[in-house]
Amino acid sequence: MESHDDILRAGFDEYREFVNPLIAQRAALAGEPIKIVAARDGLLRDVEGHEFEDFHGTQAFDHRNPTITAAIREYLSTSAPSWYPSRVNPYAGRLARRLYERTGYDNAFFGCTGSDAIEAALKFARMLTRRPRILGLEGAYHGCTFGSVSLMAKGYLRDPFGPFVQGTESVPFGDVDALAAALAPGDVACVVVEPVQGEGGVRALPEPFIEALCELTQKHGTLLVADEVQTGMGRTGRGVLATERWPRRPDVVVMAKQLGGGIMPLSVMLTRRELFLKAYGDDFASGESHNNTLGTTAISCVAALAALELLTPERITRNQELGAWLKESLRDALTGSPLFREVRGVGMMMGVALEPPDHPWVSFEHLGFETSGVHGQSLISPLMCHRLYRRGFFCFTCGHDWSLFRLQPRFDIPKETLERFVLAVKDELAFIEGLQ
Amino acid sequence: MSKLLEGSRCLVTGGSRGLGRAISLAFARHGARVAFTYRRDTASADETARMLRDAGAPEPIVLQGTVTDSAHAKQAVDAVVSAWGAIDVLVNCAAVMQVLPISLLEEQDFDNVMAVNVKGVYLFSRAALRPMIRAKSGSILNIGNFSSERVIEAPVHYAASKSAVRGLTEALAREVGRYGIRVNLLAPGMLDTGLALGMPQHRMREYIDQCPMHRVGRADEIAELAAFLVSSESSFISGAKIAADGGL
Repeated sequence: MESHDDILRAGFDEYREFVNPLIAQRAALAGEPIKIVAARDGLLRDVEGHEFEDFHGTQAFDHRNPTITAAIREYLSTSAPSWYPSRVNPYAGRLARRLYERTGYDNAFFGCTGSDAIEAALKFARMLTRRPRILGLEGAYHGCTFGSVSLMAKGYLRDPFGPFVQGTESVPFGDVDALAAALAPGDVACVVVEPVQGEGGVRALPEPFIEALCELTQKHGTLLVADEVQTGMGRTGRGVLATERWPRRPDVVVMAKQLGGGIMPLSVMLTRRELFLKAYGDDFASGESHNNTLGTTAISCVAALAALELLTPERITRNQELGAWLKESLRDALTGSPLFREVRGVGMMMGVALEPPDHPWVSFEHLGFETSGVHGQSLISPLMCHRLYRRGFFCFTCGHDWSLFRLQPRFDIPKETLERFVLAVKDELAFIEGLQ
Repeated sequence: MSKLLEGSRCLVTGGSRGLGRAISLAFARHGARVAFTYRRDTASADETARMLRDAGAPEPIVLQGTVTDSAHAKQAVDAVVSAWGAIDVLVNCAAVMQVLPISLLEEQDFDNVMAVNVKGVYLFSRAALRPMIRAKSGSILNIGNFSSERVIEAPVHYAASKSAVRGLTEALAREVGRYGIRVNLLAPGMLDTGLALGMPQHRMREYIDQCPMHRVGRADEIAELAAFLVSSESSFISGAKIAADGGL
């Protein structure tokens, strides 16, 4: 059997050699903590003993949450199979039931990644409506399969992969008139939206747009699909789902990332049984015409069941309250800096928008990046993230807008840690200002 | 293969990983007894020790500490002398490399790189010279880098530290040559380890385009040269900078 010590010593170099050398080089150049060898008490620890708070969001319940790891261990101590050849998997059944109890959606399709679940939703909408067109919003990020990349915001994550899935198109973000015009012909299968665009710059959908979206999709018989990969599982503090209080509940909701407890890859497309049967209920063959092999394994479901148990109403409320405090604290601390634009977001999903410093020695070119590889993006978020690594915080740049860095803390992060974080951001912004 | 270092008692700083490991293993292949230091990565140090044993080398001496600590330097040299009776070879390989443009390079970054890469060489050389001078014999090999002089846009503190080591090498060679002690600088080009790991693709392409041999070096190639330079085969080479960079 492979030795874990050996993997944690040599595997980082093996990643660079056999997986993706560019990711490894980018991480090294940006000064990202790479050789992380332990996760303890919610923190990551590198080979030299430095600790890091991870703000990616996938680890909402902490890295290696003891409740989730214990549930997995307990499952592994049984003799129950993880995969069922008939596909009638009792663990999937139990998880779908619990998801119904928590969200109200009584039909589930499981996959491994958010992209899997989005792909399932797009095909579901086509199957149900038999309509050709699929709408997304500008600034979207729904994953990297062909269906989801066809809805992606224009840029380096999308453009090289054309031509895209026929019938997919984008509506300007928050533009009610454009949405109404696009839906008017009555040939749109679905509209796919993120309640808060993550990679697009932590932009929450404006309330008037949500109202119009709910109303217009109903009027035209178009499915409303909410991509809650980032916002789901209590992240926004508005409920298990961010869309719970929308005027009309979406017909389809997609969740992933923290659903698997940060340990197992798992995603889900949730809908209503009535719609599922209408789409796929003609015969047995249709009933499994969209499928995957390892989308549902008992071990993933066990992790998700444990994660759902951890997602108590108290935790969701804390996300709302602590998120509001963090937003206000960041705004108070950074207001006055000429590089500060705004803090955006809801609950524990936040973004800080900044201006780049105006000096040639703080440029991608001077930092050693090939300028053709940065696609005209702002330097400021990668620079801020670089500075924050040194302070023990692992932040992330929004994929479509490098003027913002994203904060999606673990749910149990101590308030004192966030207080330290606010001070660190303030100090580092002052440092960057001083470079001008 | 003739063994260049049969019975030699060698101490390699920063010997647990990368070039330091390659040098330790090459020395062992050449019949040396090897002691090496490392800072924190115990797993890598254990792995290097295992590799030395697997290569049939005598039990290595493994010493944990930072080269910026004079007590650690003294203890490391004392451990070698106490176990093997003398120290014949010191290789100052421990170094830190940090890719930062000057705009983001803070005083503490500069101090840290200079402390490890320059002061560490001074401390270990000073500690090793006490028994070497008494024995009127010994060889010190410092590891420099091509980035100290030319070719690429290297981080300035790293480049400065490697230039300082060159000056230290030349001065020390003059001072201790009278005791039969040689001090040299081995300056590798870009290798498949160290600086190259943090280099962006386009800079790497530029480097390889400029290198007449159109490739980076391998750590084992440099390690073989190191074995030669500390051996009696190079008994009249001192105060030299020997580049191994594919002809840059």
